Amino acid sequence: MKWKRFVAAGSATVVGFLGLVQSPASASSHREAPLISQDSSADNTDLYLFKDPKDATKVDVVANFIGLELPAGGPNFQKFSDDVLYEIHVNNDPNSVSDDITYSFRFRTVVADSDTFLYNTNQITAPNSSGQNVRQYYTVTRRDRWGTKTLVQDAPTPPVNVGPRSTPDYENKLALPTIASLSNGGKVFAGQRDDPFFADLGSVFDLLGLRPLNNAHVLPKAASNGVDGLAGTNVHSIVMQLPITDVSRNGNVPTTVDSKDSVIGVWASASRRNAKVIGDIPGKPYQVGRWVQVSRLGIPLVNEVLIPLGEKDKWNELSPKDDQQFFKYILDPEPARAANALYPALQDPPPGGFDASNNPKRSDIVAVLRGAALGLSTNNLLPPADVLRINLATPVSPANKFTRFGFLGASGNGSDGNADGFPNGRRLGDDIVDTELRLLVGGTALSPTPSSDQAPNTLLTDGVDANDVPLKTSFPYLATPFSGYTQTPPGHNAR
Amino acid sequence: MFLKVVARYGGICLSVAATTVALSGCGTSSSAATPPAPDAQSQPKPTTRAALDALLSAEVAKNYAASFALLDAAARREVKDVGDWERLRSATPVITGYSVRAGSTDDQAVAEVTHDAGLDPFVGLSPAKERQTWRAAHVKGGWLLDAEPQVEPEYPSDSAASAAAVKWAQAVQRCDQQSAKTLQAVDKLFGTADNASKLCGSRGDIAPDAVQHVQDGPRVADLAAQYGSDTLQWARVVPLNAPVQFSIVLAPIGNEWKVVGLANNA
Repeated sequence: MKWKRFVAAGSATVVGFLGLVQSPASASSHREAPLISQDSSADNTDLYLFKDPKDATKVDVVANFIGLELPAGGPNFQKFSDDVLYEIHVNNDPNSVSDDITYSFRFRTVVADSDTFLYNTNQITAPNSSGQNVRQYYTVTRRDRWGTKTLVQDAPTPPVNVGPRSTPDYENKLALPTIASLSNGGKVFAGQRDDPFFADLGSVFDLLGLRPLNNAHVLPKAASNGVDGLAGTNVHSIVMQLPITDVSRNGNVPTTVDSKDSVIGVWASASRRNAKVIGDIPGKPYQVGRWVQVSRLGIPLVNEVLIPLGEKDKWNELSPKDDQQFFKYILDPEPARAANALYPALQDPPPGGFDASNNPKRSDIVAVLRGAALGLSTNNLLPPADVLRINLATPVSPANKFTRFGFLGASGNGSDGNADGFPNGRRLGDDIVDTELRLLVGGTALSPTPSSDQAPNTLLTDGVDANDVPLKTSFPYLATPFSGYTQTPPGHNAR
Repeated sequence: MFLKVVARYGGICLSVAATTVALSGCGTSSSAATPPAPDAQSQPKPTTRAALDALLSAEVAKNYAASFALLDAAARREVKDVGDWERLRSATPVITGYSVRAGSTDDQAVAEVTHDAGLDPFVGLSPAKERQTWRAAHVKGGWLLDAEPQVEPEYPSDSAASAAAVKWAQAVQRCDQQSAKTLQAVDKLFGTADNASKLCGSRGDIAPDAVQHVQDGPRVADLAAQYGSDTLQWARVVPLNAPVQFSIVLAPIGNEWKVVGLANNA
C-alpha cells in the first residue's frame, strides 16, 4: 500500500535532515503578515499547482493576489499594481532549491479619459472597448539559464465584473476572450476571478475555533456548521497552463513516479522597488531602486500559522533557499502546541523541536518538506524546502474519485487518497485547512507518535469543505468573479 | 553624435529632492593599506582590469557563480549568494560585448559595454552602448569588484529627439497611423494629451520647442512606474508648436529617438 511506503520514507528522512537543509519556504496566505496586510495588490494569497485534467502534457499554475477582494470595489476597483513585479518561480533541480525558471509579469494601466471619475463610461462589450475607461495590459517573460524570452506582450486583462449594466455576459464576452496563447504552447490569463480558497476564517482565528467541534473547545459554544469567510469574495489571478516539457528537468513529460527528475517545485512572489518617492511629482509617487521581494508563497499556510509575528515580514522578503533560520518554527508548530490547551480532549500532538542528536522530531512535517508525499522512495527524497512540489509523472485522478483530503485521504493513511492531491501539488478543491490541521496535531498515519493518530485528532475540521461556487471545468478553472451589483453586504451572515 | 550622460551610481544611491523612504545602503569599497584576506569563495585577479574582464566574460557566458566569485566583501554583504546575484543581474541589460581598460584611479576599471537596444518593463532601458566604471577593492591575492558600477549610457543627441518628434507629429497630422507606429517605441503610448487626437487632419506647420529633460516633470510618472527611475534621465520631452499644442515624450532606442508618450504642455 502506498501509505506504508510514505510512512517508512517519513521516518527515514529524519536522519541527516539538517545536513540537507538549504533554506526556508513560504505558503498560502491572505493578509498573513503585518506589512503585506497593508499592501493588498502585492499580497500573494494562494498558490495552486496541478496537472491539467484535460491534457496530460500540461501543468497548471495559479497564483492569486489581493485577498478578500470585495466585488463592489468602485469607483477605483482593485487591479494588479503597475509598480509590482509578479513572479512564478520553478525549481527543477532535485539537488538544490534553485530558481531554474522564472516567469515574470509586469502590468500597465492605461486611462482613456482622465477627466472622468468613472471606471467605465458605457457598457463594456469587449475587453478594452470604448466603454472601458480604466484598462490594464501585461507582459510576461520566461527566464532560465540560457536567457530571457518574452512570451506575451501587452495582453489585456479583462475588466472587473462591475455589474449587469456595465459588464454584461461577463464570462463569455469579457473574461474568456482575454486568455492569451504563450509562444511556447501554453496559455495565460491574468485578471479578476472568484477566490477559490475556502476556510472558516472568522472562527479559526477566534482562538482556533472549529465550529463543528465548538462544544469541545475550552471556551465552548454550540456546535454548528462552518462558515466560509471567503464566500462571495474575489481575487486577482495569474493562471498559466504550461507544457510540462517547458518546466521539467529533462525537457520531457516524465513517466517514472519514483524519480527526482519527475518533480518540480514552484513558489510565487511579488516585489517592489526598494524606495518610494512621494512629493517629487505632485500626485504621482514613484518607486526607485532595485526590486525587493515583499511577498511569497509556496506550501499553503506556512507563513500564516507557523511563522511568528516577529518574523513574518522578514520571511516574506526571503527566498526558499534562505529558510534554514525558520525551520525551528516550522518543525515545532505553534498550533500543535496550542491545540491541547484549546481542545483538552485531543490526543497529545507529537512533540516538536529537535532531539539530543539535533534531528527534528516531527518526521511527518519533514516528510512533507522533502517530498515524501510525491511518491518518492527514501533514496529519492528532495532537499527540504517550502516550495509547492508536484510529481509530473503522477496520473490525474478521475473526477468521480476526487477527495478533498488529497494524498492522505479522509482516513489519513492514504488508502482512500488521491495520489495527485495535496501535498503532491495543490488542486483547487484540496482542503488544505483540514489536511494541515490533522497533520499538525499528528492525526495522520505520518505521525511519529501513533497515539496521536486517532480520534479526535483525525477528525479535525473547520466545517468548510468546498468553495462556495462550483469551479470551472476548463481553463482558467477558477469560477467567474462575483459582480459588484450582486455582492452580499460584508458580515451580513455573521449574526 | 552621441550625448554622454552620467547616470546614477548603481540603482540604489539615487539622490532625490523629495521625501524618500527606506533607501538601502550605498555600499562603497575601498582599498586598504594592508589588503584584507578575501572570502573563501572569492577569486581575486591580479589587476582591476583583469578582474573586470573576468566578471564581464562570466556575465556574457551567464556563469553567475564565476562572476559572483569576483565580488568584494562589501558587495557580498548586500548580495549574499549566487542566487541573489543572478537575480540582481537579470534586472540589468544583457551584455552583448565589451572592452576593458584601467580606470582613472588605481581602484577602478572601466568597460565600454554594448547591449541589444530596447525598452521593456523588466530591465527598463537597454542602451546600445554605455560606459561602466567599476570600483575595486585590493585584497590578498589581487582585486575584487563592487556589485554595481557607475553607468554612463550614450544617448542620441537632443536635436535628434526634436527631429524624431516632428516626424512622428507629421505622420499623425497626415492621419498615417501606420507610419506613426513605426516611429514609436511602444504600441500604446504612455500619458495623455488632451489635444493630440485633433492633430490628425489639421493644417499648419509643426515645429519643436526646446527639448526638455524630465527630472522634475510630472509627465513621466507612468513611465517611471513601468521602466524604473532611470526614466527621469533618459526620457526627453519635446513641446510642439503646431496647430494643436502638446508635448511628445521620447526614449533613446539604439541610435535614434522613438516616441513613448504624450503630455499636455506645462
